Formats: sequence, structure tokens, C-alpha cells
Amino acid sequence: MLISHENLHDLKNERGDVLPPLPVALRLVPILFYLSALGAVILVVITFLQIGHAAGQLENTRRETAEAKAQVAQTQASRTALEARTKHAVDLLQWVEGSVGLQSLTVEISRSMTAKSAINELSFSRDEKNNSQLQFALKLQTADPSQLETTIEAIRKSTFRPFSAKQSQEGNRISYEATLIREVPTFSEANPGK
Amino acid sequence: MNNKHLALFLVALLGVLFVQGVLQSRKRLAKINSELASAQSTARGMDLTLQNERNTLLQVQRNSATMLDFLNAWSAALRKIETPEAGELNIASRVKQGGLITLSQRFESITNKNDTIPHLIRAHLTFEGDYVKTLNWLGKVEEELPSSRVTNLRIVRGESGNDVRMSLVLDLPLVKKEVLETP
Repeated sequence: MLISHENLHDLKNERGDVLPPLPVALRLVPILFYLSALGAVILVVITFLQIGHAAGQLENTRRETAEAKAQVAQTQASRTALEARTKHAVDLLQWVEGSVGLQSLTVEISRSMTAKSAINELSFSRDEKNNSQLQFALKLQTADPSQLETTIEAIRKSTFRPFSAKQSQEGNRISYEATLIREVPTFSEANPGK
Repeated sequence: MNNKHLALFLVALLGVLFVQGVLQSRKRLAKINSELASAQSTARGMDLTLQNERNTLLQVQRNSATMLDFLNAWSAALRKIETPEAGELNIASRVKQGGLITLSQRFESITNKNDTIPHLIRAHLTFEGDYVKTLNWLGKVEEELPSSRVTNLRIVRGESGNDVRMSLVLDLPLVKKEVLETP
């Protein structure tokens, strides 16, 4: 015989609760559980956002560092090139300083000769180690006792100063040797011309 | 294990997973922050280095400005003779144009121990002529080839009248090409 499912309730006896009902406060447990789960998810999301932000900053910083490093290398290369070019300029300056023209000095010496004097030999040679110094030798034939003084004065006027001078005389013949050093730095008046 | 035990286990597992997830993410954040601090410190150091290098470069530029102006001013004069052949031809034609009697003329190529001027053309010249003409020739060479260097000069009386005999050793610098190129 079939008995309806609803009717079965009518057959049950009323039974007392085995345990007392849970305290009302414990109803908060699932609420707190869900809240803490939600909080954890929110916290993790916030943390991941912070990680993303920090990772972006880190990438930017690394890129900036790399750029700065490249600029440092470029600046160092520029400095090295500039120093090398300056070294070349110094080399050229030394060359120019040791290449002072001799024509004007020769002309001044020739002009210093009086009617009673004549140049037998005039020579200049540059010092190998210090090209701006000239070894000067002059052989004169003169009846003028002040001729050598006049010539030396003419050399001084050409901005050269004689050093370590040696002088000898045989009758009318005078030999004079000296090292000539330029008094005015060539750099201030060095002119490459046109 | 009944349903309640299973539920309790799942709740506990979820709790542990949440805590672990938070801890792991914070740990990763701390690590990346530490890397960021280190990178920022390196970047600051590199910025300082860059600033120092720039200052040094400016200082070098200021110090070398005069020398570089000198180099630029002389570049055109130095470009006049760039090869030994050009140097020999230049001197030979000047001797010819000078109208002097050439007694001897010899050229040699000299290796110079200098990075800027690695080679020289050395001309050994002896000629005879009128005193004024000879000295004018020398003056013209010194004026038109300002980088030339007379290393030896000897002038003695010539055969007749106002003539002189002039022997000279003339050096012409062959400057390295890259020196003359404007950077």
C-alpha cells in the first residue's frame, strides 16, 4: 500500500532536542569567514596592484640606469676624443714653436752690418731636443770694433736672446757662437697665414 | 569522515590558502620593493657619475678650447701638404720659380717619433743667387708654408758680387689625416 510522503509526518512522534541550540553569537562565524575570505582576496588584489606598480617603477629605473650608463660611456668617449685632439694640438704647437722663421732674423743681422763689415758665414741649426733653441754661428770680417755689439743688439730686437756665447777674434776676423732662445712665446703670435 | 568534518577541513584549507596567498603576495611585494630600492640607489649613483663626467667634459672643453682653436686655425695650412709627393713637388717648383741656381737638391722621407706628425719630408737644398733674391725666397717659403721648419741654414759668400750661397735643410710635416678632419 502506498502512503503519501506528506502523510508520513503525521506519523512521527515529537522528540526533544538532543543538544541545546548554539549561541546566537556563533552565527557570526560564517559571516566572519566570508568577510575574511573577501578581505584576503581584496588584500591579495591590492598587493598585486602594488607589485605591478613597483615592477613598472623597477623597469623604468633600470631603463633610466641603462640610459645614464650609455650617456656616461658616450661622455667618456667624447672626453677621450677631446683629450686626444688636444694632444694633437699640443704636438702641433710644439712643432710650430720650433719652426720660427729664420729669414727675418737673418735680414736683421745683415742690416746690422756697417760699411766696414761683411759676413763671411752665417749659420743656424736647431737643437734636436729643443727645437725652439737655435745654435747660431757668425763669422765676420770687420774693421769696426763695435760691429759685434751692434749685431747682438739687432738679434735682441728680433726677440731672441743669446746664451752661452763664445767669441774669438783673429785680426779683423771675428767668430761668434751662441744659443739663441726666443723670448716671446710663439703661441701668442703663431699665424698659419692664409 | 562525515560531512561536517569535510566542511571543517575545507574551511581550514581555504583559511590556510588565504593566509598563504596573502603572505606570498606580501613577500613578493617586499622582494620587488627591495629590488626597486637597490635599482634606485644604482640609478642615483649612475646619475652622479654622469653629472661628474659631464662636469669633467665641460672642464676639459674649457681647458682645451684655446688649443683646439689653434689646431683649427692651422688645419688649412697643414692640409697644403698631405703626401710626400706633394711636398717634394711643392718645394721643387718653388726652387724653380725662385730663379736661383740650384747646386743640389735632395729629398728624403723621415719617420718622426710623434703620433700627430708621424712623417716628415726633409729637403736638402743648396743654391746660389743674389742676396736679396735668396732671402726673399726663404721668406716666401716660410710665409706660404708656415708649418715648414728650417732645421739648418748656412749662408756664405757667393762666387761673385752680391751673391750668396745658401744651404738649408727644410722639414715639412706630414700630419696624420684624422688630426685635420673636423670632428
